[in-house]
Amino acid sequence: MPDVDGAVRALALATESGAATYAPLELRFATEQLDQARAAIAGGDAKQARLLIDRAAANGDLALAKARLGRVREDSRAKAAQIAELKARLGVAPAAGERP
Amino acid sequence: MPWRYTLVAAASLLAACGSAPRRDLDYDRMQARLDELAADPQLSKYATAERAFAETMLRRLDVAGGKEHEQLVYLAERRVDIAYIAAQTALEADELARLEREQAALLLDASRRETEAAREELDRQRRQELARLEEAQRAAQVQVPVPPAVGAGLPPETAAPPVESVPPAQASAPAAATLAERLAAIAPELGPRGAQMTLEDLAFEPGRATLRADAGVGIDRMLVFVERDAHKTIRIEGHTDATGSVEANRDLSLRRAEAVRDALVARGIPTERIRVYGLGEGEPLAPNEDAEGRALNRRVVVILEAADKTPGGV
Repeated sequence: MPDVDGAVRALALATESGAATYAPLELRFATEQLDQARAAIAGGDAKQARLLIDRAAANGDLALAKARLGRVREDSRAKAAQIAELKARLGVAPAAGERP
Repeated sequence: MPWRYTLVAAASLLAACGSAPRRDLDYDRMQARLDELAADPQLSKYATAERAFAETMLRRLDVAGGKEHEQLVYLAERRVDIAYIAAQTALEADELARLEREQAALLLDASRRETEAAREELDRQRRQELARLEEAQRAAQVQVPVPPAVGAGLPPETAAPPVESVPPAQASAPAAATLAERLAAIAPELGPRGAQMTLEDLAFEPGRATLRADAGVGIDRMLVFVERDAHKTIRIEGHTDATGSVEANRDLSLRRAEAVRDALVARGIPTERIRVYGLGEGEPLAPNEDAEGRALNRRVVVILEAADKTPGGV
């Protein structure tokens, strides 16, 4: 019987990491493929279920990767803004090429 | 013969087909992307595990055929994407860490500046209050005649009756408003005889050797200071300005140093650790020509020095 649990965990992790915001398409693909895999298992088609589970897991991992990148970029932008404000308050000139 | 030419041509075509490399455009495209990632000067050092996973998937793709090939193209495509994104994430995380370090350094700098500004402001207030108090004392002395039996020959700051005649509400109230703040801010510094803390003369009742009721904050600061090196001898020096006679100034400075000693002993410091000295006007910090300089010279200094280093104290 194909292992659905691994794909479910990948999907849950991606969702917790904010994939709904940063990778909604991949999250939707993974969810649909997982549903289809469950239907295939119920219909006794283990081979098709295996194929769909692998795809769902790959899409879940991709969604997680995109969510992590989105969050760290957002954190960087916020930090750069805080630094710019701090420098303005302290009268320190911004560095060359510094993010606005 | 024509059939022979046809046979040779057919054989040549078959040979050409057999030696031509197999072309898989999906494989080539994804391999090119991974090569590009490996050659990227910024990204190549990151996401090695994800890149290895994608390489493995490509190797499987290279030998797969039929429906499995289609499935592996789908999976490999995503693994290559994940490798790229993971490398970008790691690069961005490094940048975030750098920004956090920069922010911490800026906050530290801001904190230092604020502390310095607060210290300068407290110092300015202290000098202002000292000068104001001295002027008030002098004005009071002019208004109230000094009885000859008590005040003759004594410096203004030792002549108790005239100083006591200063209305407390006028002379001491403004100073009291900031005295506790200033005493709470006194800090150890390195002096010629070792680490030391200085108590300004406003901690004492005007013209007397009695500590003011609200001077306890400063004494508590000194207590912490002397307790941190319990093996060291405590040297307490009293100093005055140059107003009045040398003897009277030495007497007042000694009595003020003794008052600080008594306050420390009352808080648990052993008497035998402490030596007190009345140095009078002998070691001024500033010229005695103006009120501000004289205010600076009137002080009690608590010094931590090596045991039995300086004989001659009381």
